[in-house]
This record gives sequence, C-alpha cells and structure tokens, in this order.
Amino acid sequence: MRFQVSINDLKANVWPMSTVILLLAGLIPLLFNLAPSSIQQAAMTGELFVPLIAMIGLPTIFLPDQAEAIQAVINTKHYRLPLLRLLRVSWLLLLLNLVNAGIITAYGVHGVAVPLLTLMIDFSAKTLLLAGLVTVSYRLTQNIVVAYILPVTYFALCLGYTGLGPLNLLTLMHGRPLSDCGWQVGVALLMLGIGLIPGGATLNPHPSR
Amino acid sequence: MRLFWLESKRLLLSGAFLIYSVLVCGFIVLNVNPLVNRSLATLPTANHYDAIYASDFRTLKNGVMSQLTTEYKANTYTTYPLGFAKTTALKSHERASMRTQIKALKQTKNRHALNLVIKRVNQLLGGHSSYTAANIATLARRQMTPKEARQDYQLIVTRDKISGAFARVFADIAGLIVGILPTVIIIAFCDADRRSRALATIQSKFASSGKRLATQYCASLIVLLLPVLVAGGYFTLRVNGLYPHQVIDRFAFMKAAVIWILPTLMISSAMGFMTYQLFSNFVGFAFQIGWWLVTTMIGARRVDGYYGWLLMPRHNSLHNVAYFYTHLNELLINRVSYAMFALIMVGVALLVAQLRKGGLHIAFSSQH
Repeated sequence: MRFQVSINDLKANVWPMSTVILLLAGLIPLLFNLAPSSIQQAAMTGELFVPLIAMIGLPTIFLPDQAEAIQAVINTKHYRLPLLRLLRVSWLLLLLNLVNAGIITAYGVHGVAVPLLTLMIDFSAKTLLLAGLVTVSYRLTQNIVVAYILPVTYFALCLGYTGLGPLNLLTLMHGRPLSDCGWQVGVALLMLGIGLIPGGATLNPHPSR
Repeated sequence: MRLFWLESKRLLLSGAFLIYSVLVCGFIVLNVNPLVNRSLATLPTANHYDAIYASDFRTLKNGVMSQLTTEYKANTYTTYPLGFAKTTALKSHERASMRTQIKALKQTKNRHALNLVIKRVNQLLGGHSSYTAANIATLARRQMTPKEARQDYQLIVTRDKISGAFARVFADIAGLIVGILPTVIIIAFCDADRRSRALATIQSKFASSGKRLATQYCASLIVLLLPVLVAGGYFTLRVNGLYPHQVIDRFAFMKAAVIWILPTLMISSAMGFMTYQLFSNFVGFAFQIGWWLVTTMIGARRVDGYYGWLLMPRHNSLHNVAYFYTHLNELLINRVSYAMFALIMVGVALLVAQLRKGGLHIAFSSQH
C-alpha cells in the first residue's frame, strides 16, 4: 500500500521536475568541456551547473501540498507528509547524483587527467548540501519562497564572498582541499535531519504565508 | 491609488518580504563593507596602485601575443560560450593558419590592424574567445602608472566626491542579488492570488485584471527596492562618517539605486509576472536563474568595469574611474534599454492575462 502510494506520488508530483532536470542536464555537453584540462575546469559542471539545477528542482518537492487543506488530508492517511517529502528528496538526490555520475563517466571516457573519485565526492557533497539547505529553510519557515531564495543567496555568496571558508560550494574551483567536503556533508546531514524528520519546531505556525 | 497601497501593503507585510529584506541587506553589507573600509582619503603609495585594463596599443598587443603564443604551443585555447570556460584544440591545418595569424600579429603597427588579426583568430577558434575587440582588454591587465593613479584619484575626489566610488561597488553587488530574488517573490505572490481564487472576485469589481497587474508591478518595484534603499542609506551615513572633512555626494547611493539597480529589478520582477501569466508555475525562476548565471559568468571575466549588454553591469572596484566616465553613455543606454524591455515584458503579461480572461477580442479592446 505504502509502496504504491509512494510510486503514485513520485509519478504525479516529482516526475515533471525530473524531466526538467534531465533536460537541463542535457545542456551540460553544450556549455561545458567534457575533456577539461584542469581540475578547476572539470569542477565547473558539478560546482556551478548541477547546484543550479538542484536549486531549481529541489524546492518543487514542497509545491504540491502548499494548501493547508491538502496537508491535513494527507496527514490523515497511513503515509504522512514527512515520509512523502523524504521520498521526493531522496529521488531527486538520486537523480542529481546520476547526473553527476554521468559527467564523471564522460570525463573518464575522454581520458581526462583529473582525479575522478575526488570529483564525484565533491559533486555529491554539493547536491547534498543544497538539499539540506532547501529542506531546512522550508521546515523552519514553511514558506516556499524561502526554500528558493535562501539557497540562491547562498550560491551568489559563494561566487564572490570569501568568508564562507569550508562551506563555499566552489571547493575545487577555488583550489581548496577536499576535506571541505567533509564539513559540507556534515552540515548537509544535519540540515536534512532537521528538515525531514517528523515533528519539531517551525518559525512560522501558518504555512504558505 | 488605494489599489496600489493595498498591493504594496500585502507584499510589505508578507513573511517572504521580511526574509528577502534580510537577505538583500545582508548580501550587500557583507560584500560592500570590506571595500568601504578601504581609505580613499589620500593618493595610494607607489606599490599600492590598483590594476586596470589597459587600452593602449602596445600593452594590448603584448597581452594578446603572450596569451596566443602560450595557447598555440599547448594547442589548447580557452573559449567562453555563454560565459563558461571551455577548451578547444585545433587540427593541423588550422594550426598552420593560426601560425600565420601569429606572424601577422607580430607585424601589426596599430589598433586597426590588431583588430583585423584578432577577428581572424576568433573565427579560427569558432567564436566566444578572448580574441575579440571587446574582450582583449582582459589580456592587458596591469598596474596603473603614477600618472594614471593621480588622474584616478582626482576623478574620485572631484567627480565622484568619494561616495560615488563606493556607490559603484554598491550598485555592482546589489545588482547581483536583485537580478534574481524578486522573480521568485513575484511568482509566489501571483501563485498566492491564484490559490486564493482572487481573480474571480477582482474581475467582478471595477478594477480590471490589467489595471491590477500594472498596479501590482509598480507596487513590487517600490517595495522590493526598499531594502536596497535602506542599505544605500546605511552606506551614505558610513561614508559621511568616514570622511567628515571631504565634500561628499550625499545622493550617490540613491542615484545608483534608481539608475543602476532599478532596471535590473524591473527585469527580474517583470520576468516573474510574465512567466506566471504564461505558465502558471515556478518555471520562470529557471529562465531567470539561467539568464542570471550566464550574465554573472560573462561579467566575472571583467568585474572591475564591464557594462555592454549585461543585465547586471559590473564595476567591482573603487578605481578604474576613467573607464566609468568614458563608458557612462554605454551604461545609461544599457539601463534605459533594460527598463524598456521590462515594460515590454509587463505588456506581454497584460496581453496574456487579457487573452486568458476573454480571448482576442477583449485582449485588444480598450475597454478592459
């Protein structure tokens, strides 16, 4: 029963955005070099473009149940809203990491002399961090706008502000150590925990305002 | 007027606006503060002159020659389609043509000849390279000479009246954030209207949907510009405090907000209205963030002075003042063009709204 509901929910609510994500990923070979000559250049796809796709796609997991009435109906069932949201986030994370893996595979096919495992760890950390930021910002404010604008502001800060330290998304592009990704994954898991585990606090008791 | 006030109030009192204001002010202050802390009270000493993009023929030629020779030897050329760096290699017959161009480059005697050679080099590389008349300046970056530094300082004190130099950096940074966030705010604003089924009620009133959309657009501009004006006010006070004995242009930040930042805000807001009318979902955000990233990447190649046709013109330097005044007309044309383009986008949104309401006849009728 739960499995069927989950599949139906993914089909109805996540599939359209999954298609958009794949279409946007299709732009990568047109915009970027799949045979980069340096690690800085190789990192551009996973540190700039995939996070951009994540910022477009991830907040949409909260769009289907913006109305309080819909949330109330869902929460009367066996399956609760947090479970559905966990499944939606997991699906989109899987998809984004498949895009990351596709990029890395393309680099491998072109025989690029950059450490592919390092890149995969780096790219995965970014998608996880953004997923954490999106879910926690929605959880705390119950406002879809915040789930969009907070990650975008963070992304814009990463482009020019130097004070973010290990939490800057452009780790390899700025020549920072891979250990920064450890910090990013740690913070991401914490935020995902706060954002997705049922119960807990919210800063806005009136959703969708 | 009452409708305008109601729409402004609705936006102003929303939680989304509160968080938008915090993010916009925080982003501007975090990025502008380090530059405001630098002193412009005295002429920099010899070792501290700022770097500029030179425009003299000799520096340009040397810069192009050095870069092209390095890339030719490695047979790896960097191009920038839509601002993203991409490397390309030439086949053997193309390498021979490139060798010929390098020889021709060595013999150039003036800017015109240089432009002709780099045009051919750019064609060989398939376009989007650094070798265009507009882009070669990025290959000619050097420290200012003492004469240029004195002229730069004179311009900061006399024409900028100190605060103008800070206001350019302020506009550069504020443009980046205002170029993207308002689109989401507006889409969510329109979405809330649709969810509350406000349209049916509005259409039964005297206010037409077109009038309401135009009013909403004006209200969004005033309200969403407020955090920028607040940040501008804060920096005006700071600069006044830092330079108590200098003549300061007290309106420099406000002028930058209205002339430089407002057209960017007009576009990002209009994108929200137009795409929501067209698609009734958040897809407009994807368009705007794509446009924003491409503009950011193109601008990032020359952050201390690049206007052209960028949605967010760049000037992330307290110096390079001569460049600003030389290209002021270019900047103004850019800003006016974007403001007009934003109005066209709002016009499209109005047309789509009318079409949705009652078809072609009503859309082109002056009665609605």
